[in-house]
Amino acid sequence: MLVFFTLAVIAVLLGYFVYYVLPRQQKKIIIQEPHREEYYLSPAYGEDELVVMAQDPEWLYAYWEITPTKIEEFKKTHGNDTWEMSLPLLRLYQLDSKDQEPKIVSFHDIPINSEAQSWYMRVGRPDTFYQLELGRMTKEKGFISLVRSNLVRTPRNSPSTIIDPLWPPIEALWHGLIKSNGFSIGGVSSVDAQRR
Amino acid sequence: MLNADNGRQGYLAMVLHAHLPYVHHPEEERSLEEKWFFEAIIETYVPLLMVFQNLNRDGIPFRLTMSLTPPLVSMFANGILQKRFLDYLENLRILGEKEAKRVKGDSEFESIIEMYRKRLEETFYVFHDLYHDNLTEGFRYFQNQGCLELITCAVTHGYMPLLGLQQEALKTQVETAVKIHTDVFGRKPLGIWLPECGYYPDSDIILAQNGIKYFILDTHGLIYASPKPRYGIYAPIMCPKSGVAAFARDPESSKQVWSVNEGYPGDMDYREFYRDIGYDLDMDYIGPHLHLPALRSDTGLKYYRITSKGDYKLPYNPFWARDKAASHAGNFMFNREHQVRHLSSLMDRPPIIVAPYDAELFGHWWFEGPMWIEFLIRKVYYDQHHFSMITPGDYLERHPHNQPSEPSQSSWGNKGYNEVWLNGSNDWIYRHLHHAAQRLINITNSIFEPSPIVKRAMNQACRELLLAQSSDWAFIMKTGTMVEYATRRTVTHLGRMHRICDEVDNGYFDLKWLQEVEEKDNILPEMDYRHYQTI
Repeated sequence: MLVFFTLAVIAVLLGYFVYYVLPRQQKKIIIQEPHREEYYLSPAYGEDELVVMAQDPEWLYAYWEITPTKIEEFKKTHGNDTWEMSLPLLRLYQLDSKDQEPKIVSFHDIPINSEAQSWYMRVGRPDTFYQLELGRMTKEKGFISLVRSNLVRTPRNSPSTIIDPLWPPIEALWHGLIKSNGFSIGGVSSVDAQRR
Repeated sequence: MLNADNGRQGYLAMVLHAHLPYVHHPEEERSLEEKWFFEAIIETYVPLLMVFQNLNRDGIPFRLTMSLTPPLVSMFANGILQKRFLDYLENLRILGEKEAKRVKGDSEFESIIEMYRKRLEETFYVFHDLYHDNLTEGFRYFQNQGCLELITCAVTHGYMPLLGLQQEALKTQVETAVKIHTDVFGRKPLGIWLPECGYYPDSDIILAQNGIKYFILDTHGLIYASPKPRYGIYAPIMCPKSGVAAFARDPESSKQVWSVNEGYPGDMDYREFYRDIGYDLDMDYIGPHLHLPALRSDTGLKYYRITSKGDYKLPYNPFWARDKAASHAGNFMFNREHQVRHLSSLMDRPPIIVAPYDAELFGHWWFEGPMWIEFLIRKVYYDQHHFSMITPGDYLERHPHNQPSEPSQSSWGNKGYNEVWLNGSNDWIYRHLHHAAQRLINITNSIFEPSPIVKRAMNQACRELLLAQSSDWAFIMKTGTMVEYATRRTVTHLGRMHRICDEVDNGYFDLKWLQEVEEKDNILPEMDYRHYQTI
């Protein structure tokens, strides 16, 4: 009886070992599923804004948000119809500087579509200050602004013509720089080197 | 004619920018992205330290500038990564042994494998024995010996022109970088490497406020500076408002190294990057040694030389490659001599030729790169007397009076401006990055006498924002490789930041989760959220 009981215990232990312990040891090399947290970014932040950035000397990029509150405000002030009959528009101002009260040199209208929340625009002028307004072009009242952007300045893309008399440029040096180097703009980070 | 030193007519300033995005995934047993770090240690950072050692041992003085970005410095000091690196190295050591057995009898391949096995042993010695698993010790040593000028970089390599309108965002990227650099290397950095050389006028003011004396631009940053710089790119200019000096990359010396067609790294005798046994050998054999199971990837064991522009590749010959590196170093030196002689004949001060490169080019992409640097330094010291190798900091000491001129907004990315980081593939991130920064600033400004838990949470929220701001994510999205990873990093860090901010707003904290996040995103142990305070 005792022998039988002992054998049974051994059998159970062996069974446990074969079915649970052995497989676990073999499983050590399996990579566990990484613990993933789920996040998603807000489609809107509940603030009216228009932010403009320079992509290069001739192109700007702007993103914006117009809140439902702002739209309601517009409709209250100017009427539902005015909104419904108007079209969204970006007005691009070219400024003369970034002083406290810069003067508008000119402006240019860029029609956009209603679903857009960002836009690229070709301004074509390096080293120039710009500001944007996003609004609605209405039939009766013309352009009504909803939100104004920050000031932005496009980068330069040519040598300056301003000469400091204390540091007159050495022309022979410049001649060599521009001509014989035909220097290449950018493109020297390692990923570019990788593309052989 | 002003003399440089010892009658030399000009200077060469070689700048190595060492950066990797912060990759730390303790939640995954292994990650492909951590592998970037391990590869760079074996192929770039340790070989460079060995070059410095060899020069020191032989009594050859040298001056090089290196930027070690805070994420890289953090990874060097990270215990988990140190341990994982040793495991990675051990795996390669075992693979090396197997390879030696496999190619026994084939003398061509035997000598190549012997070369790799020796390198792996040296790597272990340098990494573990010499520098106690933390390579910052090595760089600090050579700084203290007077060989290296170590400069910093924006703390998580945030691309400054697109960080946003909030001054606090730029301020934090710079201030925290200067702090971590000073803590790790024992000295305030004289210079900063702007991420991707991304500069916009007036960003230099914050640099000056942090004691920075210089930064480096791409060539056109000075070519288009206003007023027109007297010396073109062969002397720095001083930003008019801040007095910080701006140096610019010399295209001639860059071309010889970077050019896809004409650059040294493309030489037929150099090691072919794209023939790695991780891809070439049978899966049954190589499988157990791959970093991630069943996913072929580079092992670093590459046995072929470039040989031709096509697929025809012959076995690597280390001796020929070494000879080539020596001759290319001689060629580079000869060209710089010629350049300096010509420039100094036109200038009334010694010209400086600034040659910045990604450090990882040397050794990782261009296997023989570190050897080339060593040959170059030796030859410059012994074989010529026209120029000396200095750092931008040395130059400013000798020539403190420089032309005031506003550098032009620029970067060294493709096309020279912001397009690489702002285009259809990645423009969506900026709205979110800017809002996140604003939220952090708003909360920081509104906190009054915070409790320890609020401080702790806010510090972590800052770490999350800083990690999200890394320019690497936008770059990866643009290049189209691993876009999903880059997107996930951006969204995850911002998501964590917002969740922490929600908890600060609500006054309820999930401490267990916060601790997990602190362990995963553990850059800047001494982060202080108050950097985001509006002054």
